[in-house]
Amino acid sequence: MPSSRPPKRPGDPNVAVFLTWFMPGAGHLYMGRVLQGVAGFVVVWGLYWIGLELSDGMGFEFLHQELRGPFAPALAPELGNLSGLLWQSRTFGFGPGFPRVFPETVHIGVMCTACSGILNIFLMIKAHSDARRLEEPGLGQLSISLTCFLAWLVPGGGHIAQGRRMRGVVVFVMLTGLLVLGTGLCEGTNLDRERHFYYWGGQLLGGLPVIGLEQIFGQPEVRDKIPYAEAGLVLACLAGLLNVLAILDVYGWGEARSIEGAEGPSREKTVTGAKEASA
Amino acid sequence: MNDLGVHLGLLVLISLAIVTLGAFFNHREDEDAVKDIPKRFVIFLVGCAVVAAIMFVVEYTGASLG
Repeated sequence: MPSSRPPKRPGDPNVAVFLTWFMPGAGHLYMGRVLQGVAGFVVVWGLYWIGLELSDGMGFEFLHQELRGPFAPALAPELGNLSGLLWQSRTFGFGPGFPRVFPETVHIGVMCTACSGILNIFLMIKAHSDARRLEEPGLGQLSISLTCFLAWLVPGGGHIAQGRRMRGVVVFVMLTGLLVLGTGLCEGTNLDRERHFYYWGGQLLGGLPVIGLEQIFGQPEVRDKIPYAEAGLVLACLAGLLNVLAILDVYGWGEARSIEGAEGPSREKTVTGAKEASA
Repeated sequence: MNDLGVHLGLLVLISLAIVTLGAFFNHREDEDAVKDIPKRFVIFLVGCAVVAAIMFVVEYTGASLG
C-alpha cells in the first residue's frame, strides 16, 4: 500500500531563512544542497565584495554626521545581507571621522552592496520554499523566488512571468510612470545616495528602471532651486515602496499555486480512497 | 497651474497608484480588483481630506507656533 504521508522536509524553513540572512547560502548548506549554497554565497557575497572594493568601503560615510549611530546602516538595503552589513560596519564603519574624497566608482560600488542585500532576500525566499519542497520541478511554473526576483527587477515583471499580463502591465505603467515623473520633477537629483541616503534605498526597490535612470542622470549637481524636488522625491520613493506590495502579491499568488500543485494529487488520492472505502 | 493645483494633481496620481496596488494585493482575480478600485479611491481621498483638515485645525490651535 503506497504511503500517503508527504515527503520529509529537508530542514526547518525558519532556520534555513535565518541562516541565509546571516550568511548567504548557509540555509542551503543546512539542507544539504551544497552546490546551491556555494553558488548563492559566491554570487551574493561576491557582489558585496565588488561593491566594497569599488567604494573603498565608504558607503556609510554618505550618512550625515547627525544621522550616524550604531543602527543607522540597518535601515539600508544592505541589511538583506547581514554578514556583509556587519563586516562593513566593523571594518569600515563611518570612516576616520573627517570628510574624505570619495573614489570615482563609489556610486556603482554602493549600488553593488545594496543589490547584494536585495538579492539575498530572494535567496532567503528560495531557502524557505526549498525547505518546504515548494520549488521542486514538476509543479508546472516558474519558482516563487525567481518570479519575486523578476517582480523586483522590473515592476510588473513577476506578474507577467506568472501569466497575469493585465495586472503586470498596470503595475509596470503605474510604478515606472511614478518613478519617471518623480525623477523628472527632481531633475535626476533624487537618484543620488550621497544626497538622499534613505530615500535612495526606498527607490532602489523599484529595480532596473531605478538603476537605469541613475546611470542616465549620473548624480547631477544642484545649481538652482528645483521647485518640486521634494514632491518628486516622495513620488519616486513611493514607487519603490509600492513595488514591495507588488512583490508580496507575486509571492502570495505563487505560494498559493505551489501549495495547490503540491497538495492536488494527494488530495485527489484521499478523496478517491474515501469513495472506495464508502463503496 | 498654481502650486496647490500641482500638489493636488500629484496627490491624485499617487493615490491612484496606492489604491490600485492595494486592490490588486487584496483580490486574487483582476476583475474583482478593478471593480473595487473606485470605492477604495474615494475612501482614500476622503481619508486624506479628513487628515488634512485635522492638521489644519491643529496647526492653528493646539500646535500653533504663534
